[in-house]
Amino acid sequence: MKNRDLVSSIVWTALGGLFVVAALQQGLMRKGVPGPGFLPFFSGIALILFSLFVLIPALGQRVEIVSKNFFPERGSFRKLAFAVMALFAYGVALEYVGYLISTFVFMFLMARLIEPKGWLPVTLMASVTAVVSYLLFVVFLEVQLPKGPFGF
Amino acid sequence: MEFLSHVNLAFQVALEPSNLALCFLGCLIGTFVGVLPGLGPAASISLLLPLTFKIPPESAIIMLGGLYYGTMYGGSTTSILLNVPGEAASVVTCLDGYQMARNGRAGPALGISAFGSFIAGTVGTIMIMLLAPPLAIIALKFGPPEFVGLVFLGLTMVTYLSSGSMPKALIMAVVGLLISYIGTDIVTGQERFTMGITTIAGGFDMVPIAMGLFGISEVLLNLSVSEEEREVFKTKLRDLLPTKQDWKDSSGAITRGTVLGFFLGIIPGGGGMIASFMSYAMEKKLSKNPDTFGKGNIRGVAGPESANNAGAQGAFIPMLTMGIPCNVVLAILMGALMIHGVTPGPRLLIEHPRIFWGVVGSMYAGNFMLLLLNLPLIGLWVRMLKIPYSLLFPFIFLFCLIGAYTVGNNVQDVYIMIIFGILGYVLKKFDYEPAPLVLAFILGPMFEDSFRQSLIISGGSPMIFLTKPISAIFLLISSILLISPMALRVMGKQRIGAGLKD
Repeated sequence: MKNRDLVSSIVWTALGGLFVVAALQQGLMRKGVPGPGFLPFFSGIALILFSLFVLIPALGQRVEIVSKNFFPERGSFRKLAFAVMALFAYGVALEYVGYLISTFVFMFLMARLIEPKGWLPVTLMASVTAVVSYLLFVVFLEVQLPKGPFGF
Repeated sequence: MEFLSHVNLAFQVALEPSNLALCFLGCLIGTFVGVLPGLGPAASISLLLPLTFKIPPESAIIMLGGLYYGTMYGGSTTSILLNVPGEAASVVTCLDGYQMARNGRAGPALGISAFGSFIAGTVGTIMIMLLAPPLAIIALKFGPPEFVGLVFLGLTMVTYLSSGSMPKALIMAVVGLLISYIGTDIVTGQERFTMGITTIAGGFDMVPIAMGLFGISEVLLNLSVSEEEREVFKTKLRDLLPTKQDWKDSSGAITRGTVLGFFLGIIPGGGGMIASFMSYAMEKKLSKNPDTFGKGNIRGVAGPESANNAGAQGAFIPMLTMGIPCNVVLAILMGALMIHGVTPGPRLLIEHPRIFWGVVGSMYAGNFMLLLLNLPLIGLWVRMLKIPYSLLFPFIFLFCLIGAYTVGNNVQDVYIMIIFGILGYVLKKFDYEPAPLVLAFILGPMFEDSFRQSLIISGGSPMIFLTKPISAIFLLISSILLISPMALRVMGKQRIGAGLKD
C-alpha cells in the first residue's frame, strides 16, 4: 500500500502546485480584497501540505515488494477497458444514430461480451431494454433524448 | 397554533396522491437498493435524479428522501441473512444479526430491526419538526463570516469522522474545493482554470460528478472482481414478530440508539456508519454480560439499526435549515433542489414551506410504508438477492448515461461523468474515499462566496472571522479537530473514524 501512497501523494503535490501557479496568474488580490485566485492559491498550498502527511510516512516505510494487485483478477483489465470504451462510444453514437439504436447496441455488447451468454436472450434483453426505456423516458416522461437520422 | 398549521400543511402536502405514490416509489426503490449489496444510496439517488426534473421540487425530495431512508431499512436484511451488509450503515448489524439467523432467530432479528427502524424514523421525524424551525431562525441571523465558519467546520467534521486516513480525507476535500473553483468566477466574471475548454467554462455540474464517482466507479469496481456465489441463509421466515421478551430486551437499545443516532446525524459525517458503530459500542458497554454480543444478542441489532435510521432523519436538519449537507446523499438531494431553482438554507422554511413541511410529513408516511414493505414482503426481497450482478450492471450504466445526458441535454456531461467514473475507480484503488470530495465540491461556491463577501465587509481584514463570536467558535472547534488526531497519535490513541475502515 505504501507504494501507492507514494504515487498518489506525488500526484496531489503536483496538482496543488499547478493550482498555486495558475492561481497566481489569476491574481490573488483585487482592490484590497481577495480576487479570483485567492482561495485557489491557499487551497493549492493546503493540498501540498496534506499530501506531505501521506508522502512522509510512505517514504519512511520500506517499499512492499508484494503489493495488492491493482486489478484483482486476471483479465479484469480487459473487461474494464472494454466497459470504459463502450461508455465513451455510447456518448458518440448517441449524437449520430440516436437513442434507440445506441442503447440497443450498448446493452447488447455489455451483456454479450462481459458475461458471455446465448445470442437469443441477449438480443431479447437488449431490444426490450431499448424499447421500454425509450417509452419510459421519451414518451412517458418527455425527456429530450437525441433522435437519430431515422427519427427515433 | 402556528405549529398546528405547520403540521396541517405537512400532511396536506404529503398526502396528495401523487406525492404519496412518489414516496412509495422512493421507499420501494430504497429497500431494493438497500437489499442489493454493491449499490449504495448515493449512487441510486444520483441515478434517479433525472427522473425528478419534471415534477415539483417537493415531490422530488419526497421521493429521493424516501429512497434514502429506505436503504437504511433494506440494508439490514442482507446483513442478517447473508452476513453481507447491504450498505455501510448496516455493517455492525452483521455481528449479531447473522448470529441470530444462525441460531434460528432470523425472524425476530429482521422484525426487531424493522420495528426499531420504524420507531427511530418516526421519533426522528418528530424531532425534526421541533428542532428545525428554531435552528432556521438562528441560522437566519448568520452573515457571510458565520457561514464561512460553518462550512469550514462542516468540512473538517466530515474528514474527521471519515473512515480511514484523515490526511487522505482532507486531500479529497481540498480536491473537491479545487474542482469547484473551475469555471467562471462569480465575483469578477473571469474564467478560471478551464484551460480553454468551453464545456467547463460555466463550471462542472454536480450530477455528472456524483454519478461518475458513485455510479460508474462502483460498477467498474464490481466488474473487476469475480462474482461470489451469494448463499442466502436458509431459514423459515416465520415468527417475524418479536416476542415480549425480545421487546423487553431491546426497548432500551432502541431508545438509546434513536437519541444517539439522531444527534450524530445532525453532525456532518456523523450519521449512518458512525451512528450504528457507536450505538453498538454503547450497548456492549452498558450490557451486564457483554460476552453475549457477537453471539446473537438482539440488542446488538436493535440499537444500531435504530441509530442509523434516526441518523438518516437527523441529517435532513442541517441541509434544510442551513444549506449544509451532512453526507453525500444529502449533498445530492441538495443538488436536486438547486436544479429546481430552490436554494436550501435558513430561508427555505419561509420561502418554500411546502418543500420543508411536505418532506417532513412524507417521512411519517414513508416510515409506515417501509414497515409494511419490509415485514410482510421480506420473502420477496430475499428472492431479489438471487439477481446476478451481471444482469444488473448494464442497467446501472444505462441509467447513468441517460441521467448525465438529460441534466444539460448535452453529451459533454456524459463524457465528464465517465471521466469521473474512472477517477473514482482509481481513487478507491489508492484508498481514497470520494465522499469528502463531493461534499466540498457542493459547498465550495458557498464557501468562496461567503469568504469573499466577509472580506469585502471587513475591508480586507481576516480578523472578521475571529471577532464574530459564532464564526470564531466554529473555527476554534475546526482547529481542535484538525490538530487532535496528531495529539491522539502522540498519546497512542485513535480518532473515532480511523478504525472503521475494516
